[in-house]
Amino acid sequence: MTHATSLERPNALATGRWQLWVDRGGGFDILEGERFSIGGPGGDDPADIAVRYCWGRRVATLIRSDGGDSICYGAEATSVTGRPLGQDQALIFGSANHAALPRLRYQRPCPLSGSAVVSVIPPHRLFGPIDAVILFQQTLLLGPETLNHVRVPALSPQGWIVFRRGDQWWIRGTHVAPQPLEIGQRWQYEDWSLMIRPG
Amino acid sequence: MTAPVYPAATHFSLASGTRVLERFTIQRGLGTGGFGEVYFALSDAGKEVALKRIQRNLEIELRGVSHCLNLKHPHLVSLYDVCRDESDHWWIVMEYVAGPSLRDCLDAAPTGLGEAETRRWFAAVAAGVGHLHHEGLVHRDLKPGNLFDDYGTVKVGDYGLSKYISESRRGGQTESVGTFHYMAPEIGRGEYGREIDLYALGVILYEMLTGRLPFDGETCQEIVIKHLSAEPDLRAVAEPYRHVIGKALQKDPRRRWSSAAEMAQAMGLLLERPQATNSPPFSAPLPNNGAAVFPTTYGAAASHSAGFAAESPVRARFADAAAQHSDGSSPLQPAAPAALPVMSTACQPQEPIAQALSVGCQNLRCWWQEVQLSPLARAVVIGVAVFLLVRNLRWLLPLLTVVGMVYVPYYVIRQMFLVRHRRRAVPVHQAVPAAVPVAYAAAQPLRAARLPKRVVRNNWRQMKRSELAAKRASIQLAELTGSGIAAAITVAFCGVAAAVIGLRNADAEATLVAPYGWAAVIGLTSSLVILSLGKLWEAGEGDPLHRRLALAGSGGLIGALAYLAAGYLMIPLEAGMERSIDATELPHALYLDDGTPRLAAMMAHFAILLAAVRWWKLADPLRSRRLSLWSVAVVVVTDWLIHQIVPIPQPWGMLVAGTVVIAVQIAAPWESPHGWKTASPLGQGAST
Repeated sequence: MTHATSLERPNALATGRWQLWVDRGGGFDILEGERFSIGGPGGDDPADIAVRYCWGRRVATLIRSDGGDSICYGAEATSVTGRPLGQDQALIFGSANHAALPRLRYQRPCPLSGSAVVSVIPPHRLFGPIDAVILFQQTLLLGPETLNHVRVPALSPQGWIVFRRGDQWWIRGTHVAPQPLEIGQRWQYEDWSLMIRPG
Repeated sequence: MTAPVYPAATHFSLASGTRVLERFTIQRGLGTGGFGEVYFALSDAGKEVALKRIQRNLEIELRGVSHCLNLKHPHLVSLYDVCRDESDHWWIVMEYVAGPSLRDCLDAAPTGLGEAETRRWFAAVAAGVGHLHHEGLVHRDLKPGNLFDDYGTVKVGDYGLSKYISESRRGGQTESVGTFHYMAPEIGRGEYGREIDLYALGVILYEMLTGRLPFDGETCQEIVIKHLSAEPDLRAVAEPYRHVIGKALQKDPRRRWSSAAEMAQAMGLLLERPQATNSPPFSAPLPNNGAAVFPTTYGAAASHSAGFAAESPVRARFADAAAQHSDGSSPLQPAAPAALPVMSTACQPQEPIAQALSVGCQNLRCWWQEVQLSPLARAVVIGVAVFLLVRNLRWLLPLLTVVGMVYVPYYVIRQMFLVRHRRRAVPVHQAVPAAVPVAYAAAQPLRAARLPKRVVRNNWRQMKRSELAAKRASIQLAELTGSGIAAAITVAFCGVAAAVIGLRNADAEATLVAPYGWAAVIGLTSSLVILSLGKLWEAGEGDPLHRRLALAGSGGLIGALAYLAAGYLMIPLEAGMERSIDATELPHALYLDDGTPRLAAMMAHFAILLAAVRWWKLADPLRSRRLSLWSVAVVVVTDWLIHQIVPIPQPWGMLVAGTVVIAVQIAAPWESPHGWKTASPLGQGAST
């Protein structure tokens, strides 16, 4: 029996937390919202972007707004705005010379999409069994090139766009009409597949 | 529960969320190959594993796989178990490697990985393969797709299945053209000795250095024929790699290297047995500059036999590769800077006391960041700490002074000894990029031209830094002597200029001239100390904390000299003590009742001045400007700020500081940073 488990949770739409699994592409947390905490696992209350490190509290807050994304470090976290983030930059905590501290990488690979990707620079890792966190905003790009949020080198050059319309996730390709993505169900096209589950 | 259904298709059979082997939940597909599919899965307890499902015409030899199951080596992907599901499908449960494969890295670096990265990969792969050979196993399918970088730890994978892959390959069933690039010629005769792994290592080493394959072709047959008959073109590879690859790619397996360890040794990578330690498995990576991340120490491996030592390398370090070559030929080759390594920092030993202090500070900082305290509580803690510090300054300062007087000479002597020792141990051909494919880089001007200026400039700096590290002690001494003379002239000029300006309306009496002489003596002494330390430190970036400590100690000694010289020259120290900001009473531990500074005050002032400024940057031959007026202003203002806390007679203090910063910059050697634009073909390309 193939246990395509029913993983749908009623509060996923409310929390704005999802997981995306892409064969040959990676596993991702998809987060929706405007403020995201960065920190350690923190027991029962992990940070939105939780790193496997002995951070016992939030070390930064990533803020998304129409004017661009920004980050507030430590004590700055209560402020409304933070330091603006570029399209691709490292997020350094503490002294730059402190090699032991985790460093994150923030990327907005495509200027046409508001979504951003936050990953952890080795040797550290995110707390969950995922490769990166996607801060979702309207669209999400998948494909082999670097301008995609989810890089799948094995994919044909044809790009794919994942987007939300109301409560429904959709996917469309360059030459493929939009198709609905059922939560917790595998979506498959030729030799690759993906699945979105509640986070 | 019924068994999973496996449709015959090119995509992954199993969807995310599928449970297999009763305790694993598949998350996503990782890859497919001739043997079957590999999935990333989580156990019910949350353990990340890779599950490999054996699909095609394979019967698992449980005895052989069991042998692999119990292999333990930091550079081998661990096999946890071999299981059969309810549908009689065999699964291998293995360690999940999150990072990219060497294939991915090579695809992203078409001109090669660069020397440092190549050495890092090769040291680990040779260690893993050496351990396999020691255990009586032959990998048989070494290729970049089977080598992984697991967050800094390189691991060899797929060794447990290689035999079956080879069999399926001979059946003409599964393998792509890519695999044939790494096949030794004797495989066609059915010979599967360990030499085929060494041959594959030679091919991989060539590919890592150049980004190309030694034998390539349009078809499998063409590639195999080249393996059988053609000689590899190694002109693009410099020594010692040319020799290593040439011997590894010998057609006759008996003429190849005898082991992976021997091969690594010929590259100057000594592979040693593990040591019992709790240290993390790898040294901290040196990001963004291609610097080496070499294995240093691993956890205890007491269960290994004594024979483990020869081919179970878990520590790799540079050694004098020149000793491995009897031909005496110069290993130097002009090279593209895109592959420059930073080796001096990778192998530079740290001073243990300073290192312990650094670790302590890091731990303290880590604790401070994590401790659950409100901002008010933090302020209180800081206040108490400052109060205790000030309260105990009376005995702390003399104690630190004594410690500094002992530590600084020890540090300087140790640095001098180790720098000389290191320069003997790291030959020039290792300190400079020797293995970069020059011909290929020259043939790719457009690609080189696309390198960002920042990258080219950084590479140029790394190259120059390597050259500085390779400089002989005698040359350094000569340079230091020249710098000392230049500093003396500069200080004399500054002193005379200051005296001319300061005494323009006064008679040149001895009591009025004496402070200028005092400032010149202290300025020259300080300049010589900074130039000497800068010369010691010019070979590497170094730890700023260590350097500040050494400078602080030197500053204390200079302060003592300043105090004694002031007494000898009968300079009134109570004059010029006015402060603009802080009007609090001066501590009696440092000052007399009339405000005259004691010895400790003078030492503290100069110690803080030297520790507060990164003087080694001003003496660095690779600084951006020969004389930075901004730096002069910063240093003078810094001294003024220090004067507000620990005052000494002014304007003499600021005059000394200004004189020193000018003299150091003028006297220290300087490499024009514009050199990176013309130093190499890549640099030219990037600058246009």
